[in-house]
Amino acid sequence: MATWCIRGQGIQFTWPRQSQPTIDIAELEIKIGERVLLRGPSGSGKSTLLSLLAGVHSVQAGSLSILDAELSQLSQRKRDKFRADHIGYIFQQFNLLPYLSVIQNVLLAIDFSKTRAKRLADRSISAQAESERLLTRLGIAADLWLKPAGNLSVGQQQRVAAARALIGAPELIIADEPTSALDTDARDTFLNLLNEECEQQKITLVFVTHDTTLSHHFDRIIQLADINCNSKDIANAAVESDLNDSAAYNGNKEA
Amino acid sequence: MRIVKLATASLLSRKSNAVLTLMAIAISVMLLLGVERVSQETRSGFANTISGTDLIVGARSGSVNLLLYSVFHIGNPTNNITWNTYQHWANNSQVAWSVPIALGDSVRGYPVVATEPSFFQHFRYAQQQPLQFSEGAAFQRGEAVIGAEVARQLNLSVGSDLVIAHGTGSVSFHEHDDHPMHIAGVLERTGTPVDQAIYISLRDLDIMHGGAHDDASNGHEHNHEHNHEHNHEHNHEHNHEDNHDHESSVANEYEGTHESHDAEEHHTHNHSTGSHSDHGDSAEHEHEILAGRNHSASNEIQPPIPGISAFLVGLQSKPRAIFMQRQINTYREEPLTAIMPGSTLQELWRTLSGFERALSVVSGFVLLAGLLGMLATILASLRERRREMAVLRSIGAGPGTIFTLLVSETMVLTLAGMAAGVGLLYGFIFMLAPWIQASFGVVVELSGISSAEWLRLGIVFVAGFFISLIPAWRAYRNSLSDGLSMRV
Repeated sequence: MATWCIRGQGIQFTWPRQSQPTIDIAELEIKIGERVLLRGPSGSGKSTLLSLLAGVHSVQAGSLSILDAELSQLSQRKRDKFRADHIGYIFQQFNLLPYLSVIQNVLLAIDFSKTRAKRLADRSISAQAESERLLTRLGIAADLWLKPAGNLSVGQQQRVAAARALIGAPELIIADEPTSALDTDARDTFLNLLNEECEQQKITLVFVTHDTTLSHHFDRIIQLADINCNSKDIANAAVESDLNDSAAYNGNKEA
Repeated sequence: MRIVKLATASLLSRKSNAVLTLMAIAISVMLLLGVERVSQETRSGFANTISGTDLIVGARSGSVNLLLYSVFHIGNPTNNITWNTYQHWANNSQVAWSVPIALGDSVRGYPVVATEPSFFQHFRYAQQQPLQFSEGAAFQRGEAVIGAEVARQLNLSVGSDLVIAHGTGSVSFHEHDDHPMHIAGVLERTGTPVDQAIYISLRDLDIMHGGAHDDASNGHEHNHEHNHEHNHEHNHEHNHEDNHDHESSVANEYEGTHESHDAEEHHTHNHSTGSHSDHGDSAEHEHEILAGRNHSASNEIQPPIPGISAFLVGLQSKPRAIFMQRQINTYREEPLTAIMPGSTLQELWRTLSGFERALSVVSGFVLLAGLLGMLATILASLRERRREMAVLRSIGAGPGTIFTLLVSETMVLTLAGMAAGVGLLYGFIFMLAPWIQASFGVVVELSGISSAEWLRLGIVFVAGFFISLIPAWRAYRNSLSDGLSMRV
């Protein structure tokens, strides 16, 4: 039984046409079921780190494994599938396809992942029933379910996005400042609901924000600036990447 | 499949753009197919119009012109052939049968063909099909046979009376209302200009034109004017209530029995003032039929009519057609043109096919414009849909899926446009077929999609597919570089 949800060592990522790596993290470990707040000022490489965690981009050096899968060893296509099956992602805003109904938006996550569909089937719950349960749980009234998602308020849209991220019980939820567009009350409600669901289904939560008042909702706070030494020079990075290749392999075995 | 559903939902969310793009494609597809359809139907319609006739002979003129007026009843004969000349060739040993026809009059726009009853026996259309009567039989004196379309449009049947108007326009000021024709037969539908025509005997036509029209209601008795004709001392007085300008014609000089007369007339009736007709158009009629009368009222073997417009010939031996054609074309007594209908149809078609090709090229460019319009619309939409792409990627759609989504979207538009185009085509055919038939005697049927049309649809599909790769590739590149970041 694995204990680590996210395990990264010597992670490096440099955007094309940039001399400095945007991400250079020696170690990042997040346990299964842990709810982590990731804080960093803008430009600290938050978005880049999230896209690495979500498997949209692949680390150029070091190892990054999620649920024991070494992402850099997966093909682009497999990483996309991995994301569909195991990761729920919530954006800051505009999470929904405005031309689909609320419920269709939630079901979209099931459409793209057989694994999520199977998880529900194993518990003999229909996708429809589960999305209705989640929407109700997150406080979206039934009369909104068939409305086009574009008609909902921002707060409602974020909760629908949360329902979509949660459906089919993925192991990891990555939320990229999902509350920044919400007022304080809505923010607390949203966080409470999200936390409860994650707790119930043993979902790991990585929550990015620069809002300092939210700390009490989380098990642990990671300051990105503390772990990301993106001022390292390129020569060093190259040497380190060689070392980390073998470390990644070992790390995998260990986990 | 879910991608196609997503693509359709996305298109529906941009309904007005999608509908406009779809219409552009539909119209270009309709044009592309319509050109093909009309030319196919015209080709087969023309080819089916006449068969079994080896030669058509008329006065010296272009072969296409002769074919058009003698078979399609389009345009006018340039000149007449004297009855004597006709007799000369009809009695040729090579000639198995011949049927004279005289044109020039009409009934509410439907051409009147004066001929002999043997016409119904010898005339063949399509694959050697003879004419059939759906009702009645061939005409006798004072009677008429009408085509199926005439019967339907004018609501006529056997027993009805028919007043023939002077000239070929759909509107005439001068009707031969003193000489109504009794309908003896209605022909089965053929899908050829025969459906549009009215057949009467040569003799009746002659009487109508020889008669003074104010000798009210004397039925078929027109002896007096035959006498007039014989005197050659007047210019065919038609004592109508309205004004007729009688123009002398140089075209009808007959070498036959009347060497010296110059009284033979080519009449043009210029009815510029009011008329007793219920129509309201000016009518100028060349009145070839009147010319060169050489008959005598007392002569039993008089020709039924002095001049005819053309005659159809069937030969004893078909391979002799070329030989006969040359013989007739070099006839010294009277300048004649003989054509073989098949080869003249080919010639006619060659003339038209250049036109058809030009139309095809134009409709091809219209299609290109439609597809480029679609490309522009979809490319423009990509900019505002980068968020949508990021959302799709976040739930596990790869760049490949995004690519497929965009291809699907374009193809849904293309296919819907094609379907709408085919729908429009059939709508137009349905609406315009009666008009095309009435104007050209060509029946455009609501038949299924032909293989040539499928080919054109295939070209549209493939062209649409290649066009779709452009926005798809753009979206693919965007989604790779954007990842999950929401660039607006």
